[in-house]
Amino acid sequence: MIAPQTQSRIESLFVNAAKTTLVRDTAHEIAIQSKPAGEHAAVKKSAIGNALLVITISSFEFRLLTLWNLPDSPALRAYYGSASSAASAAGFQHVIENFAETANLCCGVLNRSLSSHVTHLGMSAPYRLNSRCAEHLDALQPQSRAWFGIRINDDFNLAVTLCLCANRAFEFDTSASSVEAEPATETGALELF
Amino acid sequence: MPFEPPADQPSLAQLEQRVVKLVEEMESLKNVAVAFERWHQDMNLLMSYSRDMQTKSESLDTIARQLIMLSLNAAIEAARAGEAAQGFVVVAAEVRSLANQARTLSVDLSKDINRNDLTTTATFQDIQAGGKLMLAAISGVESMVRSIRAAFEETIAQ
Repeated sequence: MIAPQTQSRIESLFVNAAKTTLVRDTAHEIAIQSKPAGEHAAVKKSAIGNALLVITISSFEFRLLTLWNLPDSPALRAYYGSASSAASAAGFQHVIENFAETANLCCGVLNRSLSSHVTHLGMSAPYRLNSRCAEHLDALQPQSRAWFGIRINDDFNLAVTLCLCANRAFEFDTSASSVEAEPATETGALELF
Repeated sequence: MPFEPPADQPSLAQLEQRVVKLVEEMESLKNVAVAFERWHQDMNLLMSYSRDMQTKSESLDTIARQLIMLSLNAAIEAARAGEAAQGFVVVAAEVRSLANQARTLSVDLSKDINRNDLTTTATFQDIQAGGKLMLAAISGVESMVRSIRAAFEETIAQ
């Protein structure tokens, strides 16, 4: 129902948004790798018991859920938290709140990029769920899913799932006038920025 | 010479009144944001109920696991007691079977709650994002209507 070029365009726009917004300094390294479903199962399992953030971008034709899986680690706490984010449950909560702003920023950039293809779009606020909720994505009957492993400064990992739901077929206008010049991301390729 | 519409058409003044009414309606439609806030509160309430259910489900799971251990110990003790405690062996096996069923139910319940949380959140976020989409669309139309109104006022003033 969703054209493959539309699906890959959305994934490419996400990668472009992620590489500019998830790092706290432009000099920092970010590696974004598209994962096949099988490999993602391992990423998902390793993140169970930690945090899952969800942000939705909606249009009349589709909704795009971005699910951010955050494994609790000292490196992630140090990067997205503050000096007071010690190794306590409350400290991790603070890190998640900080990261929610970062994820919100990333989705805001994605939202703006998508608006060159879709006239009307809106974005939700982030919401935290039990990470095991991600095992039930089938309940939303998505048309497509894409998984990304993200590694920052070769120090810690995040996992992101893009889940595209639509009731009927749709396709982006990918004419030259509507598409800004951005490099496409190859599925499975490891990119360092 | 100012524009005069045909006799069977509304006058410029009447048209302007309709445009003014339209601007007011558009302004009123923006109050949909108040409804969104109400839905947001309801969503938070639903999720807090869900968290309570998840906590109770975890407690149920803990009790079921403890019952399994207890029934196992009871079976061992009954076996030690010999022939006289054969009845207790059967009771312990039954308790263990019931505890296993309770454990399976609590695991299923926990999965159902997680699936429900995801579906509820996805639906709510779709509504929230859709609301922002509609507010932006309303603002766009309102802006156009205001410019039409300004053009009317300018035409009438001439």
